[in-house]
Amino acid sequence: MKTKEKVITVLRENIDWDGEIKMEHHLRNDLGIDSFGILMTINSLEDEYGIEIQDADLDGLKTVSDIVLRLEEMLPVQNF
Amino acid sequence: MKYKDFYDRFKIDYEVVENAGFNPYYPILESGLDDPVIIDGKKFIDLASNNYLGLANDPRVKEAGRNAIQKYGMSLCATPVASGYSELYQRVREKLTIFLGLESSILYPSCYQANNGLFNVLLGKEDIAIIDRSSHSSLIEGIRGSGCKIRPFLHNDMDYLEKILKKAGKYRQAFVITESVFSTEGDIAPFHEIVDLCDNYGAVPVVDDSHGIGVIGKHGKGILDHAQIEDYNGIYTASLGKALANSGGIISGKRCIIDYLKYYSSHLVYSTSLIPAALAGVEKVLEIIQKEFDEISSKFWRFKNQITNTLTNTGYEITNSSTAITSIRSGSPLQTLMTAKTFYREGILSTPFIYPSVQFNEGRIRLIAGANLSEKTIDKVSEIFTNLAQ
Ligand SMILES: Cc1ncc(COP(=O)(O)O)c(C=O)c1O
Repeated sequence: MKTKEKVITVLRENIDWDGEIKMEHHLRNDLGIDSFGILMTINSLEDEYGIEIQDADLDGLKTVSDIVLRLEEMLPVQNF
Repeated sequence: MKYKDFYDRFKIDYEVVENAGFNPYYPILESGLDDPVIIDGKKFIDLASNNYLGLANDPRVKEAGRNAIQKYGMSLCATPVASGYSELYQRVREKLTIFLGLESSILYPSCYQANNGLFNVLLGKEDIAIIDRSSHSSLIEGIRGSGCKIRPFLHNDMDYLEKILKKAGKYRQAFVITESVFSTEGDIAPFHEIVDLCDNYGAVPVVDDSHGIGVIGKHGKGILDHAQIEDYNGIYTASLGKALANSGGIISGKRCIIDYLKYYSSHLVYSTSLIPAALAGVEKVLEIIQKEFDEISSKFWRFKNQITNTLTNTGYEITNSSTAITSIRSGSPLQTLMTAKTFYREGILSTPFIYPSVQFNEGRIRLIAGANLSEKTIDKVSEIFTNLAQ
């Protein structure tokens, strides 16, 4: 599964939101996710990928796409 | 200018209050918790306070407070570790411990302080706090202050909790933290299951029973009574300012933990002791609960059921509450304040919750009818809600 799809799947497991999730959606203003919701999503992604994202790094995550970019920065490059 | 820049940062966003034309926060009460209460010279039905048993203004409780003032004065003007620890404090501590069926207890000036003071003593960065995502701010701030790893779990979701517990082995100690009764919804945590999971994975359960003590359980002893848990191995906290009708916060559990807190919890050691009147008030309330719980609880349950039924029949959306709380799903912050305003105009004092007390863009209006209210008052409440719906 691509990172984008994975992030959307994990988000759905951690938040109370049935509608569409788009990359440009603002986590709080569009999807109603609070800081614990972001933390839970990140924790689940950490488990999924076996990585650790420092709590201090979470502050900059405003949109769905920010999560995807942050993850992609941290994951090993898979193809050239 | 430096000062100006600093003070300019602290601007309150009043937009929603201005749009609603109503600020429900910090109402100025001109009476005690009577039926009715007085605000701005007008009579209101109190469905806002947490005076579940209706004992805050009970003559017997007030008399106990007065007697304590006669004997000890208003305050011992010292922290418990210094000279703020009285025979009354010691006795109330022991009575509460027996009431709860635990080994030992200690009393803080408030439960907010207790929850804040607990975690930074017991948890460090080697530990993990697994916490229900809907837990009270005092628990969240408490664990944040300890520097431990924080992992929230979906509200009351035991599969989610177990998934985290399975991976928590790398930490020195795992703690599972929850409220018993969730104060904005009125639902109760599956605490027996939580304790079983903790036993299986070697985690320590911590429960904040602020809205459970004196309210739930066959004998009104709170969550441990309700979930029929004996030999509880975890930590218990509760406010003495709700059903127990006074003020203060309790932490109970194993004697070694309580003895440790007595010397190492700075929120206790460096803060002036609970005042004698409140201690004596709690002592009297415990006595009343032990004698009269069945009668008192049947009253607040009747009130709760009547209010819930009226609201449901008149089209309000109500949460699934299994305690004495009735909570209305009231929509956006603006809709929430508008509804609370309508109630207020009709003489009903309620507690509206908007973000961050509830999730973003949601709202709740909490109604608690204490056992001090009369049947007539509750009939009036039903009449008001019915008329508003027409
Ligand atoms: C669940 C919960 N815990 C703790 C507190 C704080 O208790 P206290 O008022 O004794 O500080 C409250 C509310 O006041 C609460 O609702």
